[in-house]
Amino acid sequence: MGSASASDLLVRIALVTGLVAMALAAAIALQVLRLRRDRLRRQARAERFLAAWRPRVYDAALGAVPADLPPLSAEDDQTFLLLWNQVQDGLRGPPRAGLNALARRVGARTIALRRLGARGPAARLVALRTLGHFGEAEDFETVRVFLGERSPVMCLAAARALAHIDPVRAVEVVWPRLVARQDWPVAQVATMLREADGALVGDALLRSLPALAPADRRRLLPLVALLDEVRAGQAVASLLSTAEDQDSLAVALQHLRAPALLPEVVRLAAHPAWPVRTQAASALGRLGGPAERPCLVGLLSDPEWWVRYRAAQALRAGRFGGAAGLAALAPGLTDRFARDMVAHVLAEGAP
Amino acid sequence: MTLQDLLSASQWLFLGYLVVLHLAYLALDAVALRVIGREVEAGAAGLLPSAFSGLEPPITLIVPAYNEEATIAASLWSLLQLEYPSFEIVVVNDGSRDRTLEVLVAEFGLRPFPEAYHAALPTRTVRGLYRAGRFPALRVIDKENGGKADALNAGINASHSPLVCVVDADSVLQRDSLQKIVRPMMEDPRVVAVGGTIRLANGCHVSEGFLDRVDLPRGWLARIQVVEYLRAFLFGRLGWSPMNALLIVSGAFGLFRKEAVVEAGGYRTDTVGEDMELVVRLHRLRRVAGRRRPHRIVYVADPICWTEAPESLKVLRSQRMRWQRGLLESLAANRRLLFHPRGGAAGWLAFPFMLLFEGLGPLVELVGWGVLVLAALVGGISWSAFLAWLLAALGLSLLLSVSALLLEERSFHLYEQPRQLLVLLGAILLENLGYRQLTAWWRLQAVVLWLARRPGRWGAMQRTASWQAGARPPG
Repeated sequence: MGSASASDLLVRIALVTGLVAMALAAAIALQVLRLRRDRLRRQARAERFLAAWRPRVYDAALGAVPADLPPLSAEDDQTFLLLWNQVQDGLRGPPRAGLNALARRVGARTIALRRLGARGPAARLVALRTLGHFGEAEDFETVRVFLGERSPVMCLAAARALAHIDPVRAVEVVWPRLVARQDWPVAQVATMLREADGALVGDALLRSLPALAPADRRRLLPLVALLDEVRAGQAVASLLSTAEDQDSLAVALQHLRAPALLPEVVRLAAHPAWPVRTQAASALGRLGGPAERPCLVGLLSDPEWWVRYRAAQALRAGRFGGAAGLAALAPGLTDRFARDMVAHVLAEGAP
Repeated sequence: MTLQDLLSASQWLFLGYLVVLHLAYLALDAVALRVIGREVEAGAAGLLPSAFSGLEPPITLIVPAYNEEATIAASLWSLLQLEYPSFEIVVVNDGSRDRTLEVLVAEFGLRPFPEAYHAALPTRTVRGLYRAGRFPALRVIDKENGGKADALNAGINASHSPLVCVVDADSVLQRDSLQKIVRPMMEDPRVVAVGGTIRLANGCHVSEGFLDRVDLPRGWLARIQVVEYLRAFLFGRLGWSPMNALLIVSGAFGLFRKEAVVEAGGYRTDTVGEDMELVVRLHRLRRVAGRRRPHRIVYVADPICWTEAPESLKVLRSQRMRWQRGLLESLAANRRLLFHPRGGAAGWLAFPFMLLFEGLGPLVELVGWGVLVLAALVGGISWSAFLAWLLAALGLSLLLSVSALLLEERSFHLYEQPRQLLVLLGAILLENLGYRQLTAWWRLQAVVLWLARRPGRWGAMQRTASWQAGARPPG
């Protein structure tokens, strides 16, 4: 009897589980269909809107704000802002006055400020972009608040808008957060700030470098590649004098352009970390002369492929004797890997 | 204990198993729903500048090729057009018995090259290295046949970049796939591997090397696999990734830090699941072995790789048996990760999940159904009780599949036509009427063969590649 009732209970549980799961599955399937229907409707509406508005926005971009603007309903706010931002992004130089005049006529800035409070991230992202394009100084603080958002994407959008509104202040407020926030994609933030003023980013990096913790420095080091030659030279000098970690030294050697530091490079060619030796070989090839040749020849027998490769490439350069000089080296090399690398690099340069 | 008691106990166990299995998947689904929101948000960040920053690290694409004469040229034309500032392609001809090498030589003007090849990972003998004069970024290694893992190791040896991306020779990437898959590596130095989404190219149309029209396959066998892939990638992998418990990065498209792979010893050549085994091993070595250090293995849903699904039962059977065996081999080889005090979510959640629900799942499922059918036939349970069981299993299975469809609809909605949506709903229904049971049977066979220590084989994938007709660029 006990067994029978347990069995009945089991069947009832199975039945209820099945019915509940079926009902949920049906509800989700209906939700999928509803989402699809809504999306198709939105798309159709957006297409109609764009057909009517795109020519007008293009005219405005050319400086002629059309007199006959159709009414802009709240449902089309996002489509309008997207279109307006896309056209803004496609422009170079000053003819933004017409676009801004058009946006003012339809109250786009007010719309953007309102949409900063929207639930969907896309609405807030577009709103931030819009405020960036308007470039009104009074919006700086409103936008700045978004640098504190948890989502890095939202922070990036805010950083970009700030850089458009006031590049100098933007670097001041964004840079310390870029250092502090491990989750911000360094390259993208730097690209955004650079859109506004690359020199400002370079100066901020130079100021920060000596004081950065090793982990932060490692994260921000790739930005040296974005600096102009003068600032890169200053960064290199700063790194070579203060840094001990292999990443910093490798980056410093990568951007080294000052022959005066060659003795330091020769010293680093014996560094235990191969990325440092690789960059040292490249730097010797770029800046060195006959005095550095023995060091490069020694690097042909390095245990690491990349060090041998860079050394052989360097030795193929004219001032080290060119391809003929490199070929002449081969018979005297006792290390098989060094000989292989010489053959490799000579073949690369062959017609 | 009477037979009736035994039957009752086994039913309780089976019901418990089904419910826990589906609850676990639904929990992953819930995580994935949250993550997909962020992915969509990141998509909205198309508003942010997407131009290259100049800081992107170089990538070596490794393309192992075995008897790929029909598709290799088209695949490479497609790969050569990828948008990324610095990448090279290393094709590894793994002792093909067809004209793969000849096709490559003729199509790309390859010439032998005295490469200073450094075998950091042991492989079968390399017979020669070739370069393409017109395409300096393309190199080909010709080696003795040693299997996919051996070919990948040879490709890693020949790579000149800190990041290696493995791509199947029959796959088509999206133009910006590399740009997207590299992001986690650029943003977080702890990331050692990134997996991308695989979708099925059957039925799609390729033009000038890239997919320009997404459609569904014509046959229901491949259509059902579309649903399977949605489930596997959209909430299988998306769910595990935030917990750093992702145990699979597909061999068809995955990005790795070369240093991490070489340090781990490269791909194992004694398994048919070399892609999963490497990922589980990376978790194990970096969590519980001597080389312990912080790491992350990440899945990104957006970069999509299109590949061909089997359209015949024979090939599908071979594929599923290989996957099942690969799973078991990967878990067995890295069993120290299971419930290890430092195993983290990978050792305490993903590993037991994979073992119980994916590894031993077919066994439990088929034995459970076998007992129920037998019990119904001999009168141990009533037919109405049997139908209640069927309803529970069907309901739970449908719930999972439509959840995957919901994720797709809320994120990428690649199947844009309403007709395609209805076909997918049809495939979800059909999957439960024979397909699911058949694949469970094949997987069970693989479990038995593995337990019996019978050697596994890769098997041959017969590719139609009709979707690749327009893969070569004009001129």
